[in-house]
Parts: sequence; structure tokens; C-alpha cells
Amino acid sequence: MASTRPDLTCPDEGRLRAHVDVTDDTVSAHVEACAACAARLDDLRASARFAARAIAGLDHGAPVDVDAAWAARPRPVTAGTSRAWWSGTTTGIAAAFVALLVAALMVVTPTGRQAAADFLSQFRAERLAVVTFDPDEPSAAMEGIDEIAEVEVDDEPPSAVADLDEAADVAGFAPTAVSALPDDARADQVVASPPSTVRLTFRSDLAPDLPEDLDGAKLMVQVPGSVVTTYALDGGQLFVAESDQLVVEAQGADLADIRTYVLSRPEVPPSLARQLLAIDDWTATLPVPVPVDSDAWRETTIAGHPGLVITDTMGSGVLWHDGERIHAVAGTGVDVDRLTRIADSVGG
Amino acid sequence: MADRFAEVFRLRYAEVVRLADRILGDRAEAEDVAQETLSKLAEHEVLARPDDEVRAWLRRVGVNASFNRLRGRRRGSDRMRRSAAADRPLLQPDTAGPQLAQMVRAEERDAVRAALARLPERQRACLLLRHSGYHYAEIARALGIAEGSVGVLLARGERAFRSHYEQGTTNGID
Repeated sequence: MASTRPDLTCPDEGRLRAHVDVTDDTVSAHVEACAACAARLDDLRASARFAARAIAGLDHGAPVDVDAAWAARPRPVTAGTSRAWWSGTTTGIAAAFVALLVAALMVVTPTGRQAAADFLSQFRAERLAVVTFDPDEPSAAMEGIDEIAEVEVDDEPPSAVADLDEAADVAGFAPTAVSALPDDARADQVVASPPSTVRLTFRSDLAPDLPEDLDGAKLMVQVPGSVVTTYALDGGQLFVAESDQLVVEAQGADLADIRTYVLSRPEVPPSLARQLLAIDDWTATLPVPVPVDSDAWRETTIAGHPGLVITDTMGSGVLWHDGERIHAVAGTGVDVDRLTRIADSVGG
Repeated sequence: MADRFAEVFRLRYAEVVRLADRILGDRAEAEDVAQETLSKLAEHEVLARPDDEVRAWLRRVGVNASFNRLRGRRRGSDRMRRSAAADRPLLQPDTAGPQLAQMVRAEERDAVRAALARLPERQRACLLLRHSGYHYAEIARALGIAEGSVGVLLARGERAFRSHYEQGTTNGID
């Protein structure tokens, strides 16, 4: 009668760990004959039991009220229509505005050349450029970043403040006054976000294909403070947003290499990567993501500074960089000409 | 599609809350994450897909949203320590026994979260999903990894978790 001889090849750690949960006869036979693997298995079992007990202890056990949650679920801004890419709740737009900027930076990892062994290169946004993306996957690039780098976010959420003075305290800059608000504009809410920092550390244990010279490289994204003022209009809403300077510092690797690697990752859609790679002066250009199904965008000039007009089914927005700060004026029920006049009056 | 969304919401909301709660340790924030996750689902094409795909999508998005919040509110172990201290009930002489037990449990939970927070993202997600009852195939689908990688992540994650936990409690970090 033939007997089953144990597999002499020691199973890898993953297979041994899987055996803890679901018995693998081949592994069982091997472990009986291999003292080293028996010890490894004991260690894996002990760690698994330890983790199971610890994580089970995290439960509060309180019931979840699904009916109340259903009643309290967020509704679209306007029922039956798609949501404008820049719109949301009045607090949401501040977060969206900042998130937009962060997302842009995450995708277009800034570039430059290492001037010294312990270099510090900087990206400063000086102009804007449109890149289109698929709105069904707005956070794909952000999620992808987690796969290749340790991400630390040091931030505080946006908060509603009493007035622009208080907003200045939170955001770290004094918001620019708007001198030509529409007659029917009634200040509704001011939301301010403090400056925050996002630190990315590229690690080969997270991304096996990370080039060796990028292992341990760091990017520090200084997300600027921002202020968004919401006005109620007769038949619409107006948002006036302003954000301080964006700065990205990199350390420990050649930024051109980081950029090339990040943009080659599968999480970045090829069409988006192509657009980003096509930006010539990328050390000073902030990409503005616009959904591919947005009705239209075009370049414009606001108070002598280059900007963008973006329009979709819900409304329009004007974005520009005045050399010091990034501004946005957007609205529902407001035509582009009116928005442009308001934008021209910022700081006027 | 509205009926489909209502059906999924009622079926899966509590599951997402519990998963987020394990990561965040804050029921109210976990409910926010669940609302945010389900609200993304309402406008996502995956809603039209079969139930198991929707469930995997919800887990992945819910786990990511929870970790994003965890990172956002984390300011190192000092922040966690302050938070733990703020949540801790004051001892009253007539109920010192039960309150002491409650305090110990709260400290243990904080220590567990602190140890989890030190793990790489995928290992942490893998541990939480596995010890929330998910099978390897479900975890692989939720995290977008090969099923054969789940065991490796679990082995590394559990070993590191135990080490971080023991190190933390020995040093009095938590």
C-alpha cells in the first residue's frame, strides 16, 4: 500500500497562516515532520488568537438604528438632477475645494531636480491647467497613493465661523474683499479651513515595484488654509472661495523619478497621466480636475490674471490664481458674465 | 435604481457601521462613515451589480473612509492619549468597581487601536476584516488583492500587531 510522504518543501508564511484558518492536509503532513514549521505554526496561531481577542474587544455592542439612518441619509442638492462638480453643502464645498487641491497634488507629484544630497525641492502653484477625469472614479488616485506610500494627514476639519475676521484666524490669511456682490446676495455662511499638512513616505514594503532610489523618499504637501463664503441669491446660491499658497516639498529622492513612477501606476488612469505629463511647466502649474462630462471649460482673464471658466448642468465656476492666492467664484442660477464681474471685483 | 439603493442601504448599513466602528472606536463617526459610503454607492455604477460585488465595494470604500478619518484626526500618540483620557469616565466612590472595569476596558481598546494604527494600511485592513468574520476570498475582493496574499498579510500583520501592543502597554504609551 502506498503511503503519503510529507512534502519536504516548507510552506511559505502565507500558506501556513491560511492553514490556521482552514486545514490544509499537505501542510498538516509537512508540519508533523518538520519541527521548524511546527514552531512557526504555533507562533502564527498564538498571534492570530491574540489579534482575534483584541479586535473582538473593540465592539461596543450597541444596536444600529437603520431606520433613523435611512431617514437621516444625505440627499442630493437638487433632486432629479446631477450634482455640480464643485457644489455640495455649504460646509462641503470648503472640504471639496481643499480636497480638489490635494487630489491634484497627489496626482501630479511635483517635480524638480535634486541640487544636493539632502535636498529640498519645492513646488509652488503659480498657474492653473485643466485636466479631465472620470467622475465615477474621483478618488482613484488618492486611494492608489495608499498602496505605495505611508500617508499621514495632519489636519482639522473645516468649521463655520462668525465672520471674515474669524475666518482669517482659522485660515491663516485675511480673505480678499468682494466689492461687486449682486444686490440680491445675502451672506449665508462663512466656512474656514486651517492649513494642514499631508506627508507621503514612499516605502518598498508597500509597493514591491518601487524603484530602490525612491524607497524612503518623502513628500510634504502643505495644503493651504481656505475660506468659503456662501451667499443666498434670489433663485440661486453664490460661493466665493479663496485659498492660500500651495507648497510641496520633497526630500530624499529625485523628484522627476518620483513623478515618472507615480504617473506610471495603474491607479492613475492613462488619459489623466498623459494630460499631466503634457504640462510643460509642471513645477508651477496646478492641475484643476474637471469631469469629462462637464459641459465646457475655457480660459479667461480675471483682473489681469489667467483663469478658467468651468460650466456644467448645475452652474458655473471661475477659478484664477492672482500670483499669491487661488480664488474661485461659483454659483447656481448665476450666469458666467455675472460671475466674471463678481470675480473681477475681488480685491477691487 | 432607487428601490435597489433602499434595499442595499437597509441590508448593509449596520454592517458598514460596525466595521467602521472597529476601526474608529467612535460610533457616531462610524455612522458618518457609513452614510458617506452609502451615499457614494447611490451614484455608483456598482449598485447595479450583484450583491456580493456591492458588499465587497462597500467594505473597501468603508474601510478606506475609516482609515482616512483615522489619519485625519490622528496627531500621534499624544492625540490618542488625550482622546482616550477625555472619553474616560471619572470614578465615583459608590461605583468604583464597575467603573474601574469600564476604564480598564476603555484603556485596552485604546491600546488595541494604537497598535493597529502602527500597521501598514493593507495589513490593518486585512486583520480587521478577517477578525470581523470575512473569508479570504471576500477580503481579497474587498482589498483588490490576490487571495494568496491574504495569508501573508495576516501573518505579518498579526505578528506586528502583537508586538506593537505589547510594546505599547509595556512602555505605558496607551
